[in-house]
Amino acid sequence: MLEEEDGDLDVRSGVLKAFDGASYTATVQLTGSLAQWLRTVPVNRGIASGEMTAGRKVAVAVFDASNPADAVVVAVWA
Amino acid sequence: MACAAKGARVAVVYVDAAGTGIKLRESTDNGATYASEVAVTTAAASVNDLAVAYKNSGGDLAIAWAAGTSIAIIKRVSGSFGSASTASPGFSSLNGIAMAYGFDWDMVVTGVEATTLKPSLWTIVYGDGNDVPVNTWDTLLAQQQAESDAQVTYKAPSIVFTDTYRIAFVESDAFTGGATRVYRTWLHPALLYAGGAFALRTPVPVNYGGAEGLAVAADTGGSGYVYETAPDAVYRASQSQALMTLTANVLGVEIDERGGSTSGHIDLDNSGGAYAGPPAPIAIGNLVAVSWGYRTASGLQASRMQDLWIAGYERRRSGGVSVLRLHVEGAWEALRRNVQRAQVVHTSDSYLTVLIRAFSRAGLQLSSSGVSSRATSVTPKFTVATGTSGFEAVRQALAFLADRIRPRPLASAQITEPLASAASDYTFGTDHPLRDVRLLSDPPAVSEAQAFGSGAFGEAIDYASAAAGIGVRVQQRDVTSATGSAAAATAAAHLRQRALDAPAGRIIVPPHSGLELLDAVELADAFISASAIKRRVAAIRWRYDRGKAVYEQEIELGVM
Repeated sequence: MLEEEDGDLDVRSGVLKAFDGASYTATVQLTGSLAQWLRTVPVNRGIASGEMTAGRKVAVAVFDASNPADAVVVAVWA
Repeated sequence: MACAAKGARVAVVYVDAAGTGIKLRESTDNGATYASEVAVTTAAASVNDLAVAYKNSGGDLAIAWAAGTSIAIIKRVSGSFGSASTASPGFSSLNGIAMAYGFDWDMVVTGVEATTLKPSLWTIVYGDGNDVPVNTWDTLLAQQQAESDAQVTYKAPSIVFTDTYRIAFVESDAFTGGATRVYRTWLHPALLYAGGAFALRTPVPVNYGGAEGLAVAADTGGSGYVYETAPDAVYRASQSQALMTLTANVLGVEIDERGGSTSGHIDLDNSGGAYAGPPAPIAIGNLVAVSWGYRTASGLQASRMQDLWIAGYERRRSGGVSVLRLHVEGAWEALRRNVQRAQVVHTSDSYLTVLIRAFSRAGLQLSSSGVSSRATSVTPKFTVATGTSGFEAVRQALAFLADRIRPRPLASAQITEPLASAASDYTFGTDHPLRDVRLLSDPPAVSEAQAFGSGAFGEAIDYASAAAGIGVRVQQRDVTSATGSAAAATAAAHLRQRALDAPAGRIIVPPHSGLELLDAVELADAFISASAIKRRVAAIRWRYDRGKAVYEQEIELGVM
């Protein structure tokens, strides 16, 4: 794992707003963000597309705090 | 309907029953009587909102309106209305417009963005030849935005130009638990209204939930009050500064300035009970201007240090002594408290612009002097996520640059690249005595920096340290860099940043009143070195203690 100025990988929780099975990317509302979502976040290919239902909770691993697109959805639940 | 006033003039504008006819009634006797209705113009579509502002007390004014997917403006100059000018810079729909005459016709607009359908609050300028060329629409700049399906609406904007631009608007959140609330925002007085997107101070919530918001207005001439009004509320704040001189009662001051923090305290003699309460304007959040200096043959000479704000206060009572201690902090702490309500995405801004905006959203002005070329030429993929503090955003951006920032007075800061070859700003040890010296020669903590770009790799190596096995290797993600040379430049900047972290000792001297962080200083002491030694000011601890007759600076030194 590569370290940024401030340290480590950041794992954030959120709610799945939308999923694009073709590009295997998601739109996620991170917890604490009331009005804006992260878009085109890559999704772990190990997660079946059928599990990516809007409204479910997701875990997002953020590699670069200044670039949320440099992240991956690693888990879905609920 | 909208109104404006200037001198004895009052203008009231409104639309007719058809929703397109824009009318004006004006008073020239402070609103005692009004002239007959004037049909100003007819809008191309039903008017959703309109605004009016005077340019001068001679009666030059402009009326702006939002209709359909356009905004428009018509000016009255020397008593005659010209033709309207319309702009459609990317609206899907509009619900509000407000306007003030600052240096140009400065507007706030609310509605929904075309294509993205994002609810937005924008600023836009119709030029009057100052910041923007006359009769020219400037770029539409988003200042607040929400997702199309976030159930958020921005509306009811209002703006006044007094000491600076002061804006109020309503954010109405329809999601579960959401609220309708007024927010205030403003711009640092030294910044241009047309300065850029997401440049307004992060909005501050107001305890008022009226759906039509608050209308802001101000007495002219810089005195009197700023008002916020609604049918059921009037708030006002004095435009006059409330000043108190503390100098005669200062028992002690200790301020610690360093890269990334400023803190300290000021002790005030309360033996006479003068600071019981404490009295206004001593209050948390208020500004304290501290100047350091000397009594000289030319009189009192002093330099003001960076701005300090009261973070808290402490009443001390012991053994018959009464002291009011003011805990103070600086611009870095203001950045730490400035947490973003909404995500800010920079797609084509340089690192310098990213930093300027981060400071601006904290109410601070960042200027540059001798900034690196990287800071102005590289446009990173940079997002300030919701919940990120201004301080975090600044640190993240600086990790890709060799530049550093120092806070300064008047709510400002300066970014500069501390070059190893910089000339000395001052010499200690000749006319200015060195009371105590500890000079360190420590190696840099980092000897290798690696940047992993987008399919590209770059590195920078301090071979001397690396060969000696002293420093560590640090690795950095850098998705902006798509070539090896770009990634190498990032690595070189990062290596330089870490090299600047290396401690190089400290000195204690009688205060140099004008000394600032990052200044280059020379030390002349033949017992240490035959030639002057150059160091950079990494931190300053200012100390004044009247009881112990202490007046000094402890200066932490860094490498050049």
